[in-house]
Amino acid sequence: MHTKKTIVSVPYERAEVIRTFICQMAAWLDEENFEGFLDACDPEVRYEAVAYSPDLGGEMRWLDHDLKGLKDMVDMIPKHVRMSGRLCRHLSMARIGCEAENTMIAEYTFLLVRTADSGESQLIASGRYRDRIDFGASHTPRLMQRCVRLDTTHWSPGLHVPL
Amino acid sequence: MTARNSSAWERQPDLPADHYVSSSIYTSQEIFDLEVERIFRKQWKFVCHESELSNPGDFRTVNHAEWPLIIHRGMDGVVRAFINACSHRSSLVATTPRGNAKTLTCFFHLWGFDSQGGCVDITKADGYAECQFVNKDNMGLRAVKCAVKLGMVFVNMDDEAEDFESYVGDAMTQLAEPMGTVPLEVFHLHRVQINGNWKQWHETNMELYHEWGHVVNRTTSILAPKYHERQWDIHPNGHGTLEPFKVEYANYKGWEQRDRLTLPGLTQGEFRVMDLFPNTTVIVRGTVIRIDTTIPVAPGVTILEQRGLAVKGENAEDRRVRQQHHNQFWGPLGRNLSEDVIFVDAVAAANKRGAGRWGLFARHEGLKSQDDEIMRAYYRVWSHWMGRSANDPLAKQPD
Repeated sequence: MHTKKTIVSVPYERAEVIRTFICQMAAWLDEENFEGFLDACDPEVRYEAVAYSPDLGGEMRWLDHDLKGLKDMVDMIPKHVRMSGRLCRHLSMARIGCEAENTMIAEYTFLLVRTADSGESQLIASGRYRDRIDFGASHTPRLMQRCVRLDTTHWSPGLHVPL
Repeated sequence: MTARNSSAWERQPDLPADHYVSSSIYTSQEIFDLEVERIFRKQWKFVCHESELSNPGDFRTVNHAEWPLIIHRGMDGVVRAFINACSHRSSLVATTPRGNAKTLTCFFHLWGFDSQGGCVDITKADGYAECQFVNKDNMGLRAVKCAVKLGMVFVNMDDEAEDFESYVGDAMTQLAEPMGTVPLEVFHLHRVQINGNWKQWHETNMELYHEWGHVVNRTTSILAPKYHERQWDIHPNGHGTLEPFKVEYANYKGWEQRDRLTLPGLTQGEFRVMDLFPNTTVIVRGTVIRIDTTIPVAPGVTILEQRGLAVKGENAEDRRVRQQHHNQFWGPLGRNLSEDVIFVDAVAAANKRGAGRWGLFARHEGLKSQDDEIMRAYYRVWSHWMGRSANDPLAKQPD
C-alpha cells in the first residue's frame, strides 16, 4: 500500500463495518443494482480504473469519473450491446487502515468472473480496489474514492459497467 | 417470404462475384496458412509507434503473425527491425516487451548483436575454431525491412517487397497534419482476444453499415448532418479513406462536444479514418487518435492491439481530457470497441463449422459512408495476393 506510513490500524468493529460495506458494494455491482452502489457513494466521489502497461512502461487511465459521470455511464447500459451472462466480483481483503479520524483506507484484491448463459465461467480481470471510505458525523460509511488497479490488460471484449 | 431450405441456403448468392465472400475465408486452416505466407510474409504491416522507441537503444518486441520481431532504435537514432531469434540456437534475444540496450545480448549463451544486427560477441569463440562458418561475420540477426511514416513503424518480411512509400501511396495524406505536425505519443495500449478471424476485425473499420448496431455511433454519427454525404476514397493496394465530417458527441447522454484540444489540421469534433491493407486502421476523433491492428493466431483466434495517441509533453489536465475522449469510445470500458468485439464473435460463432455460408457486401450508395465498395475493393486485393477468389477460396486449384 503506497500510504503505508500514514495508515494506522483500526478497531475490529470498524473494520467489520468496512468489510460489510465493501462486500455490499460488490454485491450491488454483481446484481447491477447501480442505484444502491451510487447511493453509497459520497457526492464528491472519484472513481478511477488504472492499469500498468508493460509495453509502454507507464500507467494507463481507463476510467475517471465523478458521481455524475458514473451515473451517466450506468444509465446508458441498457441501450448497449453487452456480453450475456453474469459478472461476479470475488474479493479478498488485503489491508484496512485509518487515514484520518473518520477516513479509512481499504484495499482488496478482486477477481472478476463472468459466467455465460451457457454456464461457462471465465476470468475477465484481476486487480485491486483501493477505497477511501468516510464515516462522517453520521457514522455511516460512504465511498469517497475508488481506484481500481487492474493487473489485466489483455481483455475479453470489454465491459460497459463499473468494475 | 419464407425461410430457405438447405440447398437455397448453400447456393451461391445470385450476385456479382465480388459482392459476397465465403465464410471459409474466415475459418479454413488452409486459407489461414496461405494468408500468413502470401500476405503477412509479403505485405507491409504496422508494428508500433515511434514514441515507443524514444531514445537510442530503446527496443520493443512484437508479435507479427506469430513471428517474434524486435524493433530497435539504434545508437545512431535509426529504427530497424530484426527477427527476434538468436543466430545460435534461435532463442528469443529480447524477452521483455520493451527495454533499452546498446548491444542486444541473447540471455541463453550471451551472444551479442549491435544495433545494425551484426554479431559482435560470440561467447568463448575459440570453441568454433574447427567450424569456420560460425564466426561473427556470418552470425548476424535476420534483418527485416522497416519504414517509419508519421511516427508509425511498419515492417515487411519480404526482402524484395516494394518500398513502403509506393505501397501506401497517398492513403496517409489525411493524417499528415494531425499526426505529422506535433509530436505524439502512445498513452494507451491494450489487447483483446477475439474469437474470430483477423479480417473480421478489419471489416469493422470499413463496413460502416454496422454502425447502426452501436447506440453511440447511431446518436453521435449516423444522426449527425453530413454522415451520409461522405465519400470513400478507394486507394490502390486495398487501402481506403473516408471524407471527414463532424461528430456530434453531445448527442450521447453525459458527453460534451469536443470543442478544444483539437489536433492540427482538424475542425472541432472532426472524424477521419484510414484503413491500410491488410489489417491496420487509424481513426482520428478530433482530440485523440486510435491505431488498431491485429495479430492473427489461428483462423478463429485473433489478438486485437489497440493504441491511443495524444500530444507528447502536454499538461496533465489536457492529457486527462484526451484520455477521457479516448476511453469514451475505445477503452476496454468504453462504449464502442467492446461492442465490435461482440459483433465479430457472434459472426464467428455462426461461421465456425459453416452454418453461416456467405457474407454479403452488396450495398451501393454512390461510394458514400455505408457503401460496401470499400469491402469489395479490399477483397479484390486479398484475392489477388492469395490467388484465390474470396467467394470460392477452396475451389480446386490448377496443378
